[in-house]
Amino acid sequence: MRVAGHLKALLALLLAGAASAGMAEGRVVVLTSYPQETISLFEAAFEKANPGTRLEIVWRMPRDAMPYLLDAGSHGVDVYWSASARNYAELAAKDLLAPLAADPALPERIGRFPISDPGLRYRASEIASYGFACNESKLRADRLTCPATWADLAKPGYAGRILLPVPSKVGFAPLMYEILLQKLGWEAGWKVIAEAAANSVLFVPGGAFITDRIGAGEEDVGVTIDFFAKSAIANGAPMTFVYPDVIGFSPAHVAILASAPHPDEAHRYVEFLLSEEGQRILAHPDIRKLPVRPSAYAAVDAGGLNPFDPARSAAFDYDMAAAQKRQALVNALFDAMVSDRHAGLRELSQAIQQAEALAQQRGDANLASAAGRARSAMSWVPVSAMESIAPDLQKNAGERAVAWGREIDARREGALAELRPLLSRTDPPALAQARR
Amino acid sequence: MTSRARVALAALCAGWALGAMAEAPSAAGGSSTIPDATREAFAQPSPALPRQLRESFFLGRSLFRQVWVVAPAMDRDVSGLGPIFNRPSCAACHLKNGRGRAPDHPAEKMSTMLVRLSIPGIDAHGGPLPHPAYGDQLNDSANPGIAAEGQARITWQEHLETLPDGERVSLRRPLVRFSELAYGPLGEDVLVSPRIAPPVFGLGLLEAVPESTLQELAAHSQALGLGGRLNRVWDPSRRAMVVGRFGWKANSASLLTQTAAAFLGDLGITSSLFPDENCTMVQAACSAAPSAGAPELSDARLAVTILYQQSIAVPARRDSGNPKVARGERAFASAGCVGCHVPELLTGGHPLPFLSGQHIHPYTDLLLHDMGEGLADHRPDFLASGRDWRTPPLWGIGLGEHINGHRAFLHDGRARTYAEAILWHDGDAGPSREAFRAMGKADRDALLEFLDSL
Repeated sequence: MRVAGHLKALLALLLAGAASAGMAEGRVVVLTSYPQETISLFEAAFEKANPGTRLEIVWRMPRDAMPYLLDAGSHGVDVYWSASARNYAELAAKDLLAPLAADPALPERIGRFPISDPGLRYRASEIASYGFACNESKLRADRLTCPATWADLAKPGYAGRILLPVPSKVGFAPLMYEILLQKLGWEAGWKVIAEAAANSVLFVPGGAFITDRIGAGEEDVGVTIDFFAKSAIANGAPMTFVYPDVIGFSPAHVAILASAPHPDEAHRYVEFLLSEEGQRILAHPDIRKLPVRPSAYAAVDAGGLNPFDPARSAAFDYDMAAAQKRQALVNALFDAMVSDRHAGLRELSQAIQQAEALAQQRGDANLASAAGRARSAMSWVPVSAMESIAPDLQKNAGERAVAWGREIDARREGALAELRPLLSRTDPPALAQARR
Repeated sequence: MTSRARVALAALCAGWALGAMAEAPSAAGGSSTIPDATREAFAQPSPALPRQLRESFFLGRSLFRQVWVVAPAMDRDVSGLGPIFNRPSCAACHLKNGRGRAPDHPAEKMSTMLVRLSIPGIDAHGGPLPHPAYGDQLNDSANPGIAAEGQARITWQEHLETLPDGERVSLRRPLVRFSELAYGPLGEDVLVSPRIAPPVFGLGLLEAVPESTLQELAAHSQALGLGGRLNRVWDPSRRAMVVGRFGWKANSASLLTQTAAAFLGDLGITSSLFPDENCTMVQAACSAAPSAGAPELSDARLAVTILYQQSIAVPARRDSGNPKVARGERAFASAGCVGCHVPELLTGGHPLPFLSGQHIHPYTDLLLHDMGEGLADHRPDFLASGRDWRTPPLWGIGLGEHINGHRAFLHDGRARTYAEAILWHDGDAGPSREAFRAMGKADRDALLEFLDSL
């Protein structure tokens, strides 16, 4: 009989047509690509601070977010909260973002680099940087320490111990390499990258994280965005983290859509996110990102890095617009120089290291000179700094990769061909000593 | 269709063999024990997991943590959320693989728990009869443009319990209130059962406990007057009635069924085992919403998600040399708690050989027990009555607060301390509760410290 009652109610609903969509008052729809732990922490804190207002999450990676937001009405999204400077710039250019409230306590720049839109259509919500996660106990066992500089990564002692991300596959990596290219200069930057890569195991996503592998001792040094390592350490992982000599900052942003169906709640969410309380959540062990509100640094452990410290921010000067424009090119160049011919790169690097050691041991100027030429060939980049910002090259970088590869191979094989006979004339004990 | 997922899971396990592992007898999870008390202690691979399966383990972890995407989407591998759902990822409820909690006040939403629903009667296999408009659980979230089923809020009724030595303990009982119901009233006879998310480590070892062992435990429990018995549930992957061992009422037979059901019920993601979206007949917009595929979760991806749960290590017990802990362990035994929270089990054969033949210390018998009227939800589930609950494992319970930042025990998270949880025990466990009440404070404190060492 009870079931029959339910069936009657069901029939009545069917006859009445679609069920009423009784939406709650007080909700804010946030599009994000943050991991669940970050979302859960902000969701709980925001809803506690704003009783009766519900946070509803729509999750999309940046490349998937853009077409979604560009659809008419943006599918009811109120707030876009993500790490994708390019998307925010495009949304602002299309006039799809509503102005945010001014807040003089929130710097709009780090050094000379604007982190927030001067027109206040989007604001930085947190900052990340890059560095080295180290398995100190494994390094110590071989009398090594955590590298302090990018150049350290090329030292023979670290050969095979470094885990280096491939920028075409790992989301955080393109900006990290671009920072090096801008800070050190195009050719010098590629030299550091190629020499580090020749000493490294390449990392692409799909299974274990960089921090898993470093913690498990599969490799000893992981080149990574800071919060992965700092969060793992805060949660007990056996590793340390070092900010190296050259660093840059990567801001994530927040914006309110002009079409936001819940603008009041959207402003409350953004206000909360940027408040002292919201910024302190960034220090949670499961997040460990850097606040954009300088006053929050007094209460959080930022791992010794405050981007708003003039000593740090003065060194921060790079062209984000140029970086975004040539991102695909830099990724394609990395693949052509490193990922697509990594075994050959490592072989050449090992030959160079042997030749340099032998040349020094014997005072052999010819061998030193050949090693120098080989080192130049190893880091030779087929595109000049000027060409790297040419619009044409951005569009057809992939097509040119085959031709680049041929040129790279020719130079590296030539260098190896020059070194091999010089090394083969060396007696085996000396070679073994040089290898050590 | 259903056999494909099983085949994918078997394929992951095939092709390699594992030698005998050196085992420390006191290790909580046998060779799958890790000496880890950090906030990641519930998320580490078993040390016995063969190297060849580590990448699959980490891929499974990524899927477990993945926040799923509304279809259509470019990221097709992770799309298919909804149309109606509870949370957008497994990890949203099982934060850091630990237990969920109940909201402390009515304004707070259920973020790591859900509400099961049904109406009186049984389905074709003897299971709960889903509500015709709302199905078998309230989905309080929905994709844009679709109405969520409604909201459930908890208010608490508190009362003080005074122990014989005068110590007072405040106990709270949840009252579930519904609002914003989008598909009509639930009806006065709706059966409601709020459930927090359980921890998800060590599950492969529990899966490897032989059915014969459970039958022996049940016979022994009956002989002792503890009432333990097996649930028998419908397993859609085998299309048969089998012994249930997972879930708060042992209403799920295997991690395959449990995981596929949670993907559908909690996230709205279809699999070969549950190929239809979880929309009821009255949910027209839900039924018309785009799907990410048929099914949305491939068998291979379902298989690695299961492998991940099977292979998560169990954190080692701590402080076992502490005299107070040892005293508490004796008090735990003398109060008869070990009759149901069985300290040691031996695993049998398993497709993952490293889970086989392990002496484990989960502190459960995996059986149903009548826990009395105070804990009853009056919602039968196969052979489990409204007063029955499966003995939950206690391993790792002492790390919960460090990892998840809260203490929440029992099926609905009502207990905020071990003492509260014990004082809610009744029915088959009533004598143990009375023994705890009658203990001197030193013994009670020692017993609680023992639990904290697990």
